[in-house]
Amino acid sequence: MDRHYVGLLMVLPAIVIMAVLTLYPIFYSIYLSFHDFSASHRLKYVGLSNFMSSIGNRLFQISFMNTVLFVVGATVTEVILGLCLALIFMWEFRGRGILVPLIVLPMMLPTIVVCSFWRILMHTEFGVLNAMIKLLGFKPINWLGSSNIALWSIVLVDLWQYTPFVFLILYAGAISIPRHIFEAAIIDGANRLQIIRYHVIPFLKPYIVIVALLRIIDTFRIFDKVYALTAGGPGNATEVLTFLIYKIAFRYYEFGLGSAQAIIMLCIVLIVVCFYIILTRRGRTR
Amino acid sequence: MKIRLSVLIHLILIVMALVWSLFPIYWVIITSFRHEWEALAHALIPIPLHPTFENYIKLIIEDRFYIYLLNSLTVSLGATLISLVIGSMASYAITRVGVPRYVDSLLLLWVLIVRMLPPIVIAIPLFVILRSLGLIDTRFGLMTAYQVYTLPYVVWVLLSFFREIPREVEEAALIDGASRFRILFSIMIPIAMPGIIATAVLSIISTWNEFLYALIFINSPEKFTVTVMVATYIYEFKIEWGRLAASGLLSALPVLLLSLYIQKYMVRGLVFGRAV
Repeated sequence: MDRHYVGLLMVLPAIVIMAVLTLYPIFYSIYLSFHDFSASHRLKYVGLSNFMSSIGNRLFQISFMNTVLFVVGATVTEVILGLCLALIFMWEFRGRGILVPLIVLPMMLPTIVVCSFWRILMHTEFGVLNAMIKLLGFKPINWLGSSNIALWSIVLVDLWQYTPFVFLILYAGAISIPRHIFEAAIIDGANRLQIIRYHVIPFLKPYIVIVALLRIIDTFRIFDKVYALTAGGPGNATEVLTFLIYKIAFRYYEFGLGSAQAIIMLCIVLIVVCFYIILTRRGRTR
Repeated sequence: MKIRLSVLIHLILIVMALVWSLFPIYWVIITSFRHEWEALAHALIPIPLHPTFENYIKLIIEDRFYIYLLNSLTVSLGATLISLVIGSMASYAITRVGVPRYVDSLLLLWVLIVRMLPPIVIAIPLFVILRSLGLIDTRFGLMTAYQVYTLPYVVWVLLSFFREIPREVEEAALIDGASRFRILFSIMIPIAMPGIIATAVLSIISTWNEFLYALIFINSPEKFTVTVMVATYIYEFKIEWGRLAASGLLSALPVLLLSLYIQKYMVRGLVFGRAV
């Protein structure tokens, strides 16, 4: 009992900080979401009207749709490409130890720096991407200025930055497969593709499930790339939830409305995560 | 012949992956050594024709970019240090000392939930809290806000490092009557040092790279972190690419060097630590 007392004393600072910085803010956010709390009003209770006006708001709906498109587009492509990379690098070859850190380099860069890089590369008139496209005889692409393309350009940048993250986790999984399994399969006359299909992919399934979940959670919060690449434009073509809430709360100081939208966003994330876990669990027992 | 072909395909795929990952970085590096007119006029030439340090010199002398590097360094180190002290105590208590029932599982469950929270959800109440404490627009306030990211991460990763230490190591000290705090700081932490350094490095990298909170909680330009400054440059130096490239590279260099140092521990830390 005495031991537990000392233990409690040691976890207490962590519990207090977590409570003050994360638990309390969530409840405070819920509280604020039922109030009009802005530059003009000091905490006036307004019931559900913040939620109602958010859900009915066209810009909020657009932001929601763009966020979903981004989450799905980025997660799916990153997992597929990351898996392919892991399958390429799982076979031992000379120099692999040096190449893997180089491949994962983009992931270590600050997101804002990544955006500054790609703004240079994607410049419509002077960028190297369009210069190459012109050299090949195609029409230059307005990467960040066209409302049909801008969101997918952001997906492309995210793909460049975070495919290495998916790769690194799946690669760690793939090289942990005992080698004798491969040797046995080769003796049985299997080629590399068959080994991948029947031994590697089934083994990697739980890793894929986790890494996709992490990408979903992290792509939902997209902010930096939108801020630095397009600022939500052109028009509202790349408006996303975090960026919208940031503007409402910290440019127009509508804390109540911003909180309501943040709470809606939180609920969406929680629902998606629960749904995802249930879905992948069911797939496993079958 | 058939084997040769598969080796060739493998080689081509490896080269493609390398080009995809490294070409943008290479291109920005050469851009940073070009004059502005050259970067705009010769979009396809893969080497600087008239290499120059002009961009770096302007950035450091005129724009005093080192100020923002120092700000980021202060905030990252401070936030990491706070988390390490508090987090190591919590992890040690959970793995070895023992805490009252449910306290550990509830704390760990909460740590996982925080990992899922979109940071903007806590940003508004956090802003109100920090403002009432007078911590808005201070580096210490930003360090405090970063505990939202770093503390759960440090607690989670240190759990696995402490678990690997055999119990016998501390038993002798316990019999000699050493206090739990003493054991943590003079036995457990030194033994777990490689793991703790790796944890600290990943925490420094993630706070160094963070943007949203740095943007919201700091207002005075002289206190900006590098990410906020580079974001400002993106809109300020529209086609002064040399300086933009140089600022991005200088901001990224410290974290790139650190990341090479901790390759071995990367996977364990990253599963949890991709906070930004």
